[in-house]
Amino acid sequence: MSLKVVGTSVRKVDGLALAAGGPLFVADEIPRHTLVGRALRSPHAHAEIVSIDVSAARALPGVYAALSHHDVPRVAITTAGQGAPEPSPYDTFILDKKVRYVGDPVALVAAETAEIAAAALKLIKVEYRPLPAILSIDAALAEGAPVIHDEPEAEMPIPVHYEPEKNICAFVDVASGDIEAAINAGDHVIDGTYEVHYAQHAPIEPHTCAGWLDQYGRLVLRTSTQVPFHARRITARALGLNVRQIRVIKPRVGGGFGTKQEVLLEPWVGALVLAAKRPVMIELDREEELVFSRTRHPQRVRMRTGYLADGALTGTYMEVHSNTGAYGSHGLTVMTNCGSKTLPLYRRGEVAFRGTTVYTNMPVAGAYRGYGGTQASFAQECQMDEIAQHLGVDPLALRQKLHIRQGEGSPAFAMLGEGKEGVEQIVQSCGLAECLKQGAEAIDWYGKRGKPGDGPIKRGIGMAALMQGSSIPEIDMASVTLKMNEDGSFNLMAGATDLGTGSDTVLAQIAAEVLGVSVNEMIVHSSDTDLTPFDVGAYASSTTYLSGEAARRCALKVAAQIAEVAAVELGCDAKAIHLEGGYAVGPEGRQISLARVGAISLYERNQHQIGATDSAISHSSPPPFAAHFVEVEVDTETGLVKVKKYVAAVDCGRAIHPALAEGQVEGSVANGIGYALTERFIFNEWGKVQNGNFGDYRIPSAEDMPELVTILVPTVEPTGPYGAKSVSEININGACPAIANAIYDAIGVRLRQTPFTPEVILDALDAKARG
Amino acid sequence: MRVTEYLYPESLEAALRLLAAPDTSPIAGGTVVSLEGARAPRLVDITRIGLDQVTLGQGELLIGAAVRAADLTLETLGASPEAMLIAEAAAGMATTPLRNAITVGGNLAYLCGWADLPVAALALDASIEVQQEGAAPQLRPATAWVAQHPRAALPKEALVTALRLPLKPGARGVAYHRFRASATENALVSVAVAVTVAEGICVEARVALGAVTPRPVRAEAVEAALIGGPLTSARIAQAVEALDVRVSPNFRMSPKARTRILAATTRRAILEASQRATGGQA
Amino acid sequence: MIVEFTLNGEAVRWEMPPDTKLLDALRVQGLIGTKQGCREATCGACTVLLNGRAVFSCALLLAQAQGGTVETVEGLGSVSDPHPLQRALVDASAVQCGFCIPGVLMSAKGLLDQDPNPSEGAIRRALNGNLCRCTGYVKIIEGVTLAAEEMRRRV
Repeated sequence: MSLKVVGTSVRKVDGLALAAGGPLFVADEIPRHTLVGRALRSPHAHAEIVSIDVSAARALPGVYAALSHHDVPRVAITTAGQGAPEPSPYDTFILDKKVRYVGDPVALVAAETAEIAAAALKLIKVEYRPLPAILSIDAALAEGAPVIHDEPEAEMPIPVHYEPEKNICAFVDVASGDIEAAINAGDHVIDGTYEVHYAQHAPIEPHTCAGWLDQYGRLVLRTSTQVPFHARRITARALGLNVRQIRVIKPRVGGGFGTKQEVLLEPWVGALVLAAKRPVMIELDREEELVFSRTRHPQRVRMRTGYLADGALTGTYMEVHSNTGAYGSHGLTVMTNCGSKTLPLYRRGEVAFRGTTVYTNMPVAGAYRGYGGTQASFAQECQMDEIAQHLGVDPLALRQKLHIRQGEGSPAFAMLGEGKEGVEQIVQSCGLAECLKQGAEAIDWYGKRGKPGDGPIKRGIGMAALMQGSSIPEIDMASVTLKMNEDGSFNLMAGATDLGTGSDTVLAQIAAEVLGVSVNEMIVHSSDTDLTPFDVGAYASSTTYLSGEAARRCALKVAAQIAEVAAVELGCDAKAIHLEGGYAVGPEGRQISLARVGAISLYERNQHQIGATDSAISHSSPPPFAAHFVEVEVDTETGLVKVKKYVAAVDCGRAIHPALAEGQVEGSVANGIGYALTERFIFNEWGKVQNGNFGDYRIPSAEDMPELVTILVPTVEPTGPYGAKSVSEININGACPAIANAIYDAIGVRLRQTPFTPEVILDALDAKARG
Repeated sequence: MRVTEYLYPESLEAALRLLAAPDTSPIAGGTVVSLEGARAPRLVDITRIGLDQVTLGQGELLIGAAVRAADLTLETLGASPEAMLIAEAAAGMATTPLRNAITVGGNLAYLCGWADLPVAALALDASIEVQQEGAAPQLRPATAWVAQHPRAALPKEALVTALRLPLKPGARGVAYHRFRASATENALVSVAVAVTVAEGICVEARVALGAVTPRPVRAEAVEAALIGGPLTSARIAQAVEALDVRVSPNFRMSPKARTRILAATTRRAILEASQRATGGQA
Repeated sequence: MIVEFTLNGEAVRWEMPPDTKLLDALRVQGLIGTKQGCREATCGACTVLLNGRAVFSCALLLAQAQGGTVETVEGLGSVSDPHPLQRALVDASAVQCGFCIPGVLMSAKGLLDQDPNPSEGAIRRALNGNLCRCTGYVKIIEGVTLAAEEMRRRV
C-alpha cells in the first residue's frame, strides 16, 4: 500500500500559530501578579558559604520570598532529566552551603518587579571561605586535589563506579577481548589524542519556568522543558512532595538541544512559589543561559588503533577523559556514548573503552545534541584521515572499505550501554555507502581535493562519516492516547515533547496514515503530565522512532475499533474493512465516513468512546548514518577559516516529514560549524567565563552560513515506524572533523584540538614552518 | 539612571538650549541609552531637529549627526572616494537592525574601541562639527577627536551635529577592511585607507587603525613610507613593515596574533585603495 | 509620560515611565508576539519595524516612537488570515521552534518593503541580526524568497 501522509511535507501543525506570534511560550502567558524570580550567583569558583543572611532582602518592600540553603529541603538530586533511577549522581541541592563554580546559585528571591528583585539580591549578605579551584581535567585527578563533592549525601543511584573523594564522577573500563594483542596484530599502530572544548546550546528562548498553586493547592509548573515527566519526578523529590502534587505543562518551547533536558528552574520556582504563596516566573538572562545552565562536556579523547597495510583495522582502544564541571549531570552517559556512537561505525576487530569523567570547578556540562558522539567523532574521523594519509590512500575510499554494513554488528554495541551493559545489535538498515557516494559527488571530491591553490588563501576539502542511535534500548518508553470525535477528527495526546522539532506534526502524520485521514483531522496536544500519557521526553534521538511507534500502535488499536463499528453498519466482517480517505471501506465498494462512525459510537448505537492508549519501548537503537563533506578556505595571513560549502548526506531511514528532517540536518550542521569555528568559552584565570553574551559567544548568523546541501538517502528501518530512524543529533557531529580534515587538505596542518580559531591556525602554521 | 523626562525639541537651537541645563543628555538612535542606561535623568531627542541631512557642499560632504548608519550608502552620499570609504565602513557595522538605529553622531561620540566611523574619519582628514548653546559651531579635526575621548574633551552640553568630509581632488583611492571571525561581531582589527596618486607617485596617504588600541590611531610611519613613490605591492609590503602600533590586550585574541593580522589587513587595504586610485594600474 | 504613535495601523496613546523599553511596553500591552531572547541587542527575537525599518525593540525606548509608526508581528496577519511572509515561512518548513520567527518576519518585511526582489545576499544581510538556532537559515531564506515572489505576483 502506498503511503499518503507519511513521507510528505505537510504544513507543520503549529506553524501558523507560531508565525502569528500567539501566546505560545511560557513567558507569553502568565498569571496576573506573577512575581519575578532571580538567583544570586557565586563569584567564586569554589568556596564554602560560611554565613548567609537574606533577612534584609526579605524585608525589602515588594519582596515576597528570599531563600538560602537554610530555607529549602536538603535533598540531593540530579538535574539530569533521565529515566528513574537516573544514571547520574545525586550531587545537587536546590541551594547548597558550598559553591562549586562561578555562577553557582547561592540564594533565590521573588519580587514584584525585576528592579526590586535585583535590589533584593544586593541586600543578601554572604560570607565565603574560598577554596582552591580545579580548572582542568588534570588538576581534578592530581594527587591531593581538593575534593569538590565532599558532602556526605553525594551518591550514585545505580551500581556503577562513583568516587567523588577523587573527583571522579564516573569510570568505565570495558573490552571485547585482548585489545593489546589485537592492536599489536596490526602492521602499524596510531596513537592520537584529540580535545574538544566547552560550548553551549544557545536556544533563543532561555530556560523559562512559571509556577503557581492551583485551586486544590497543587503546584503547577509551566516550563520550557524537554522532559515534563522527569521534571515532575525530580522536582517532587527536591521539594519533598509527591508526584501527584505537581502538574508540569510544557507549552511551545523555543529550542532545547539538550539543555532543557535539565531540571534547573522547576525546583527553584517550586520553592519560591511555596514560600511566596504567589505565582513566580524565572526567565534566565542570556549570560545565565550561556554559562550557568548546561554546556557540552569538554573532553580529551585518545584513540590507539592497529591497522594492516591494506587499511583493515585490527583493534581500537578509546580512552576518554570527560569534564562534567561542578555537577555530574549526564557525566556517565555522555562519556559512554563517546564509544557507543562511534566505534561501531567501522569494522575494528577488537575494541576497548576506558572512560573517566571528572568534576571540576567549571561550568556544568549536561546533555547536548550529539551527546558524546560529537566529541568522539572528532577523534575517530580525524584519525581515519590520519591512517589514510599514512597509507597513502584516499580517506573516502578507506571509509568505504571499512564501514559497517547492513547485517553486521559490532562488539561495541553490547559493551556500552547507559548505566548498564548495552544491547547487542545487528544493523538492519544502512545507507552509508550511498551517503558517501552522493556526498562525494555533491562536493566534487575527486575534482577539488588536494588542490589548495597558489595564493595566500588556500582551499581544502574534507569529510567525516557518522552514526548515532535512535532511543536508548531497553530503557526508553513512549505513549500516545487517541480518541475519536463525532466529526471524524481525533484528539492525539502525546507525552512526547515537541520543542520545535516538529514531533507533534510527525506523530500526527503517523497516526493519520494508519487511520486513513489527513493531518487536518488530528488535534494534537502534547506534554502535560495531567492530561497526556507518559513519555520519557525529547532526548536520545528517540521521538520519531519511539513516540512515533507508540502513535502507530495506538492508531492501529483505534482503527480496529472503528472497523468494529463500521462492520455492523456495512454488514461485513471487521477484518474486511480498511480505512482510506476519511472512510471505512468494506467489500464491494461499500463505505461509511469516519464522521458517521464517530457519531454512531458517541450518540446512536452501542455507545462508547472510540479511543486507545498504547506505548512503545525500544529493544534496539538503530543508528542513522551520515557522510559530511566540506569545502573550506584558509587565509594563511590571518588564520581565518571560512566554510564555503557543506554537504550532509544522511540516512535517517524513511523521513516521515522530509522538509522537517532536512531542517533538523541544517540546524544541526549550522550548530556544528559554529562549534568548530567560533563558539567557545573564554575563561579568565579564576574560572570565570568572560564572554557570556551573544556579542562575544558567536553562534552563526544568516551571513555566516555557507551554501548547505542536504541529501536524504532513504532506507527502511524494519524496527521503526514506517521505516524511520532518528535524524536530529547525528548531524552536529560532522563539522569538527570534516573541517579539520579540510584544513589539513588546504594547509597541511593537522589540528587535534577544537575550535579552529584564527589564532590557532596562525600558531599551527608557525609550528609547521619551524618544522 | 532612571529617566524622568524625555524631551522632543523641534530645532537645533531648542535642543542646544535644553542640553545646556544640568542633568541632561542627548539621545539619538537610543542603543547606548537603552543598553547601558541613561547618563542623565533628562533626555533630549535630537532626531527631529534637522540633523538627518546629507549635504554636498563646496569641496565638502556634510553628514548630519542624526543620519542612520543604514543610510550611509553611495545612493545617499553621492559618488566620491570619501563617500565610498564611509559607505564601506558603515556597511559592515553590527547588524541590520542596529544599523537602522545607530547614528553618525552616536558612533562618533560614543567612540568605543571598535567604532568604525571615527576610523574612517581619521583616514579622510575629516572634522567633527560640535555645537553648544551660546557658542559658534566648532570644528574638531578627527586627529584631535580620537586623541582624547570626547566625553573628557568636550563640555557635557556640547552636541555632535555633523561629520564633515573634505572632498579632495586628484586620483584618490580608499578602502575599509576589517577582520573578525564571524560576519557581524565587533571587529578585532579595522583599517581605513585613503591615498592620492599623482603621475604614478603617492602624494598623500592616510592609514587609520581601529579596534587595536583603545581609540583609533593613524599609522604614521606606514603613511610616510608610502608617500613619494609608486604604490607597488612590494613598496606597500615594505611600508607595512613600519607598523609600530602596540596592540592592546583583548580577551578574544592575543596581541601577538592581532598584530600579525593587523599587518595583513593593513597591507590588503592599502593595496585595494591603491588599485582604486590608479584604476587598477598600480 | 504619554507616547502617541501608530501601532499596527491604529493610533494608540500609552502612558508609561520615560525609560520604558519599547519591548517591555509592547509585552505589557499584551503584544507578546515580540519575544525577549537577550535584552542585549544581539539575538533579534524582539525585532519590530519603527517607521518602516527593522529595529531591536530591546534597544529602543518607547519614547522614541512618539509620533511614529510601529509594526509588530501581530500587525502582519493571523492564523486565519496570514501575511504571505507568514504563510511562506510555514510552507517552507522554516518554522521550527518559532521563537525567532516573529523577529525574522519583521526583518524580512522591512527588507521586502524596500526591495521587493532581493538577492539571496540581500536576504542574508537583512536577517543578519536575527539569530536562529534551529534551521541553519536555509529554509528561512527559501521562505522569504517564496514570499517575495508571491507578493510581487499580488502587486
